[in-house]
Amino acid sequence: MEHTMKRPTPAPLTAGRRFAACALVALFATMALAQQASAQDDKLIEDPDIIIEVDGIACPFCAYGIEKRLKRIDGVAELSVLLEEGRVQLKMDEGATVSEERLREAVAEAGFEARSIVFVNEEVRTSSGVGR
Amino acid sequence: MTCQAHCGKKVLLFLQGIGPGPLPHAAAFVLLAIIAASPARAQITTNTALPVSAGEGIIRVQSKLIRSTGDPSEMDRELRVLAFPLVGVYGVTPKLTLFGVVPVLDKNLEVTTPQGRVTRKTSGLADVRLFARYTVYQFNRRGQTARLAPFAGVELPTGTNDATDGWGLLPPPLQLGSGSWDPFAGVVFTRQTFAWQIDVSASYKFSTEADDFQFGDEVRLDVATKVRLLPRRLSSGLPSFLYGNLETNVIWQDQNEMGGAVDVNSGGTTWYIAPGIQYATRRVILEAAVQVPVVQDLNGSALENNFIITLSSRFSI
Repeated sequence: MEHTMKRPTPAPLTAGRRFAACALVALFATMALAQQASAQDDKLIEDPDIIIEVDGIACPFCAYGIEKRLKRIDGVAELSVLLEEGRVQLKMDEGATVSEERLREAVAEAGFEARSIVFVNEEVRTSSGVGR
Repeated sequence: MTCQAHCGKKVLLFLQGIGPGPLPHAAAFVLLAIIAASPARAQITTNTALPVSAGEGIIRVQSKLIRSTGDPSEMDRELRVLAFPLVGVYGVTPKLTLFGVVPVLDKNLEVTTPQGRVTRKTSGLADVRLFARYTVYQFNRRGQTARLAPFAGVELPTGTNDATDGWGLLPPPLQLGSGSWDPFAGVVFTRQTFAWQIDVSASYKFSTEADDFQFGDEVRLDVATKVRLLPRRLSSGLPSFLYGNLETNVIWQDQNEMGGAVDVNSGGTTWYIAPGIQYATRRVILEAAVQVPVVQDLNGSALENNFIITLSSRFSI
């Protein structure tokens, strides 16, 4: 008499389990991206050329909108957002200049308001547009 | 040999009967309403009036599991829906934002027939939603904002509404699309500070007729709140936030009409409470919520939802 041991057939993955598995994979992948993004958030500029006080930013995801718009300005080398202070610090490239008007426009394009703009380094100020 | 070949006309009629019957219509309404409330610049289940930068975009990837069981009738119906709405957002100007919601659905309905348990299912692209939002009022101070924005759009008949299975044409609520062009409009108000946020959104959807069938109109009121749990004190720079969310959704649907006759087993009111959690960095948001029905006052003998699980992530691009 021959006995054969049959392996129990694994239960098929239910839709709920497939959903949970996919969601977990997506979660870990996104967390890794988020971690990488946050690691880049900690850079603060010690000697900024320009300080912009911004009204209306109240969360980190919103702040990124301003960062993207300001970084599009020619000559902006570095940028950091100080969320609690509602402040954005800019460091310009060597010899680059920018106008207050252009900075206000960039903040407005992000959907926020520039309360004040201080040129710590007057050499980066130009009267209109962007000049190098 | 197919099940259809085994089963007689009685079963076929029985299965066709679950089409215009109470379960799928109510469930489909709720499902469409839930998928519709998934814009990328939003809390977990509710729209928001927060700005999207001009020329910039956001992508939101969501996954939802919706389950409806507990049918008291002999059919013992069970509905399971997996929904994957992909949402794209684009800021045309700081005040004008365009949204596109592309949902992919997998619907599975099990029902007991005189010949045994039968499954009817379908999957694929559902109806795409396109809409625009315009900010008409904003108040900004350091660390806080308040905004009011009306929105309007249309649900396009991109999902098929003539899918069939072994039993024939699937009933309208099991189809992926309505087949109709359905406009909608609403308004959303948002107040946000470092510590908390509240969004209140009200909207109305006008359903139109397609292939002699018309879903009822829909009214929804969404209120979403969240408080910052971590960091307890803001540090210098741009810290990531962990929020605790509590959202609520009230959805009312008018009754469906088929061939000019009102379906008394469709429509009704559902009120959900949705606790959730949200982790926001400057580029990415991760979030999860469970929508639990508090009140389900559905017409006729409609099957009620058990829960809806939502997991989603957003990327600023």
